[in-house]
Amino acid sequence: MNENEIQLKVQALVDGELTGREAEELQQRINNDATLQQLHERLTQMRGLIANSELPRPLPESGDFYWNKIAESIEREERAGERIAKPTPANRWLLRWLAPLAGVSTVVLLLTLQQPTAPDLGITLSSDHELELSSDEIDVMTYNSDDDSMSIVWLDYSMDIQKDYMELWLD
Amino acid sequence: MPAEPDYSTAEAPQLVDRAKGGDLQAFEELVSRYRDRAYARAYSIMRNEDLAVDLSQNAWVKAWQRLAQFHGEASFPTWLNRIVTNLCLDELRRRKRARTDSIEEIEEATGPVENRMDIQEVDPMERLNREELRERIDAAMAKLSDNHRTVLVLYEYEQLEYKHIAEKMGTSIGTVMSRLFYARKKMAALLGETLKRDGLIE
Amino acid sequence: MGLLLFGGGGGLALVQADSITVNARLVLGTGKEKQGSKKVSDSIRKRLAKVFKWMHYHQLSSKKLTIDDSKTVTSKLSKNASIKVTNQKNGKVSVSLFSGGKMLLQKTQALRSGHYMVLAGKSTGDSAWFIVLSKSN
Repeated sequence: MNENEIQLKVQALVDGELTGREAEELQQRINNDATLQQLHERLTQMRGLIANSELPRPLPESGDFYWNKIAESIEREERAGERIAKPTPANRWLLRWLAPLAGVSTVVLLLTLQQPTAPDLGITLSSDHELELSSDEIDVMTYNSDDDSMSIVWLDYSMDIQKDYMELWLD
Repeated sequence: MPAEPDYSTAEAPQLVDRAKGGDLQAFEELVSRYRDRAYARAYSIMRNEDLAVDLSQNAWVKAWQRLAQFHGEASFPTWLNRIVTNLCLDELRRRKRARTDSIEEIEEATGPVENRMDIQEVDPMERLNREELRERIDAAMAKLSDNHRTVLVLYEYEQLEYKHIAEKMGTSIGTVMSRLFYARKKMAALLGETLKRDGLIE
Repeated sequence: MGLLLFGGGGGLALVQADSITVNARLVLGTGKEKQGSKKVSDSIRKRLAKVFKWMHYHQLSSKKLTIDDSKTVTSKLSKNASIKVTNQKNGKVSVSLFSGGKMLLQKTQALRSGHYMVLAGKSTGDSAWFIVLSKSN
C-alpha cells in the first residue's frame, strides 16, 4: 500500500467503514506510527467539527407563497391528463409569469390558453373586470380571488421599459 | 358546517397518516414545520437561494406523491431531506461544472505528497461559540467544489455509508474516499486560514 | 339617488350620495427589510405575501381620494407615478396608471368595500412595486 492508500484506510477506520481483522491490523499499525496517529487524531477532530454543523436557514420568502407554489404543483400533477405537456406560445407567455404569482384562477388560465396568439390588449375577464393596455410592449397577468377580496394585475415588461418608466417611481 | 381541523398541535406521524389519506391541510402543516430544514439542506448543497427554494419545493411535491412509500423507518424530515438531496444531486449532474471539478480532481490525484492534515489545535475553536463555529464551517463549505461539498453533506449530514454515497453520486467507493479525504483536508486549511485571520491562532 | 343633507355647525353640507373614498398606496416589495420605512398594514401584507414571494412590504406613499359620481381625480403617488381614478356608475371604478406622463394601463372593475385592487410590476434588485387601492365607503 502506498502512502495515500494508507491515509484513506485511516480515514475509513475513523469513519467506521473498516471492520474486523482489517481494522485491528490498521489500528496496530497506527499505534506504532506517530505520523499515522497524528493523522487519525486530525481526521477524528475534523469529523467531530463538521458533523451537526449544518447551519439552520430560514426560507427566504413568505411561507404562504412557498406553500401556494407547492399546492399548485400538486394540483397540476394530479390533473396530469389535462396538463399541456409542451407550452404553446400563449401559455408560455402565461407560465413565464407564474413564478412570482401563485394561485392563478382557473377562469383566467382558461381564458388565456384559448387565445392562439398573444392576448389582446383589451381583456375582458368577467362582467366586473375590464383591462386595457396602452402598449404592446407590456404583457399582463391577472389574478382574482374572491376569498382574499383582491384582484391583481401584474405587468410584465422588458428591462428597457423598466429603466425608462418603472424605476422612475421609486424616488 | 364542520369545524376545520387544527393541525398545529398534531404530532408529525399523525399528520403524515392524514396526508397519506389525501388530507392536503395536514400536508400543509408538515410543510410549515419542516420547510426551513428542507430549504437549508438544499442550500447546503446548491449554495444558491433560488435553486434551493425551487428544489426544496420540488421535493415536497415528490414527497406528496410518494407518501405511500414512507413507512416511518426514518423520521419524516430525514426522509424528506433525502428526497431534497437526491433532487440536488440530479440538478448538479445536469449542470456539470466539469472544469472546476477537473482542477480539483487533479489536485486530489497529485495531492499525496502534500497530504498532511494540518488542522489547527482544537482549543482556538472552543473560543468560538457554537453559532460562530457553524458559520465558519458553512463559509468554508461554500468554497468547496460541488463534488467535495456534496460528499461532505452526504457523509456528515445525511450520515450515509461510503457505498451509499457512491451509489448516489454515481461513482466508486474509492473515489468517494478520495473526495472525502480531500474535502476534509481543504476544510482544515480553510478553517485554519479564518482562525489565523481573526487572530485566534498564530 | 338623491342628495343627503347634513346639518352641523350651524350650516348645511351637501354631499353627493354616490361619492366614494378611495385609498391608494404605493408599496415596495423587497426580500430584505428596508430600515426606517413604513410598513403596510397587516391586512395588506397578508394578502400580498400569500401571492407574492417578497417578505417585506413598505408603504412609500398613501393618498385618500374623495371622488364624486362620474368624476375623475388624479393623484401623484411619486415623482413620476400617478393614477387617475374615475367613479363610474353602478359601483365601478376605473383606474388609469401613468408613468412619466405616459398611460400604461386602465383597469375598470367593481370595487366593493373591503376589497383590494392591486397593480404591480417588477423593479430593480429583485423588488417589486405595487399600487394597492381600496374603497373606504
